[in-house]
Amino acid sequence: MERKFSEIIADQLQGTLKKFIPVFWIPGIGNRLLDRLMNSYAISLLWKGWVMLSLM
Amino acid sequence: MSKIKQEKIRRLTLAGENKQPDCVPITSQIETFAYGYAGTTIAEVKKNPIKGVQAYKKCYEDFYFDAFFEPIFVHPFAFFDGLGADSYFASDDGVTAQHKEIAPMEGTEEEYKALIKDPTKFFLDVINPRKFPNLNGAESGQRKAVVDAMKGAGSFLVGMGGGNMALPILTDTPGFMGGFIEMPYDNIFDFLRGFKGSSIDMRRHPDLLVEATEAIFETYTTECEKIYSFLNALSSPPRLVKNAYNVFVKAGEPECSSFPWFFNPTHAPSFMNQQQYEKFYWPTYKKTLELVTKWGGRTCTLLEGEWGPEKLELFKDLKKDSVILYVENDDICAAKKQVGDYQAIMGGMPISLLKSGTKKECLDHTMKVYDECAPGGGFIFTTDKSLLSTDDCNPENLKAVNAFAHAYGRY
Repeated sequence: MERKFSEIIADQLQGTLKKFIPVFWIPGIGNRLLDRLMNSYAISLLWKGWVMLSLM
Repeated sequence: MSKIKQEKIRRLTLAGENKQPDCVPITSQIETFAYGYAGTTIAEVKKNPIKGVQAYKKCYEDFYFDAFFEPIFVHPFAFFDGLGADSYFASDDGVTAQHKEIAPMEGTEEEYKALIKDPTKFFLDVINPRKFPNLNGAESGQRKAVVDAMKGAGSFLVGMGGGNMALPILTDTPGFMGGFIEMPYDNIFDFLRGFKGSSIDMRRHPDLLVEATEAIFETYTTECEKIYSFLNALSSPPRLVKNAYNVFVKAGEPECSSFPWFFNPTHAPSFMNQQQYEKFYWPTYKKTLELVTKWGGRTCTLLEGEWGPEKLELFKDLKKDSVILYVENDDICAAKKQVGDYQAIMGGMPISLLKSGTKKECLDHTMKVYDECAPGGGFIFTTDKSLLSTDDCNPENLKAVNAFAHAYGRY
C-alpha cells in the first residue's frame, strides 16, 4: 500500500538517526529510545519546521 | 560589541518601545535589490550564499542604515528547487524575486475538517504532495527530494546564520528580524486557498474558516513562533541554550527580548471589509501578537496595502507599546496621529518617489514626514515597500535620503 508522506519522512529521519547515533544500535533499548524520541515534542516541532518552510 | 552597534541597538530598542531615542532609527528593506546593486544574481547566490552576504555588506557600507532586515534573501529558493516547486523564481533580470500564487487546497467541507483536525498532518500528507511535483511520485523519488530539499535548506541556513553573525561585525549594523510570523488567516490566503478561494470560503464556509484559523493558531502558529524565536536569542548564547532547553526538552515557552523584533507581513486585511476583518482575521492576529508580547518580544507587523483608520483603531486594544506598525500605503502621518500614542510606527519613504523623484523632492518629503512623525519618539524610518530590483529606486536618492534623515532625525 502506498505510504503517506508523513510516514515516509518519519521513516527517513529514523533511518538517518539510526545510521549516525550509535546508541540506537543497542538491541532492545536502542529501538525503545528511538521510538520515544520520534514521539517527542522536539520531533513534532521538527515536522512543524518542515511545514513552515514548505508552506512559504 | 562596537560602540556604534551598541548605539544603534539602543536606538532601535527605544523607538520600538515607543520611546524617544537619541535619533530616529533607519532600517533597510533592500531584499534582492542588494544583489543587483552589488552585481550578483539570485542564481549565483543560490549556488553560493556567501555572495548574498557580500552583496548586503556592500549596501550597508554604501547606504546609512541602523539595522538590516535580512542577511541574505529571506526565501530559501534552493529548498524549493529540491522539491521541484516553482513558487519562487527570478525574473528575466536574474535579480527581481517573484512568487506566484499556488492554491493546493480544495475548499470542500471535508478538506476544512481535515485541516481543523490536525493542521500539521494535513499540510504534510495533503498539501505537500499537491504542491511539490517531486513529492508526488514513487517513494524513492520522494526520499531523494527530501534529501535535496534539506541540502538546499542547509545551504540557506548557513548563509542566513553566517550572515546574521558576520554582517553586524563587518558593518557595525545589527539585524532587526528576531523571528518571523505568518498569521493564521494569511496561511490560508497565501498558501492554501489563494485570493479567489479564500474570498469564496468567507461566504460559503464562514464557520469552518474561523475554526481553521483557530486550529492553525493553536497547533501550528504558536509552535512555529517558538522555532523562529531562536533568532531573537542569537546574540545571547546563555538565553539561546536556556530557550532550547525550555522549548525542546520541557515543551515550554521561550524568553524573548524587546529587540530584535519578530517580523510579520500581513497580506489579506487590505482586501477585507471591516466586518470580515474582525470576524476572520483579527481574533487570531491579536492572539498571535499577544503571544509574542507574553514572551517579552515585540512584533514589527507590516500592514501591507491600505488598511484604513477603522482597522488601525483595533491596535489600541493591544497592550500599549507592544507592537510596531509598519505602514505601507496608508498615510503615515495620519496613522501616527491616530495610534502613535499606543504603538510605534515605521515607514515613511515611498519607493515610487525614490525611483522617480528628484533628490530635492525626496529630501522635502523626508523632512515633512520627520516633522510630523518623529516628535516624541516611537518612529522608525524606512521605505514603504521592499526593494526587489535595481529599477525599484534611484540609489543616489536612497543614499541622500538616508544620510539626510540620519542627521535631521537627531532629538
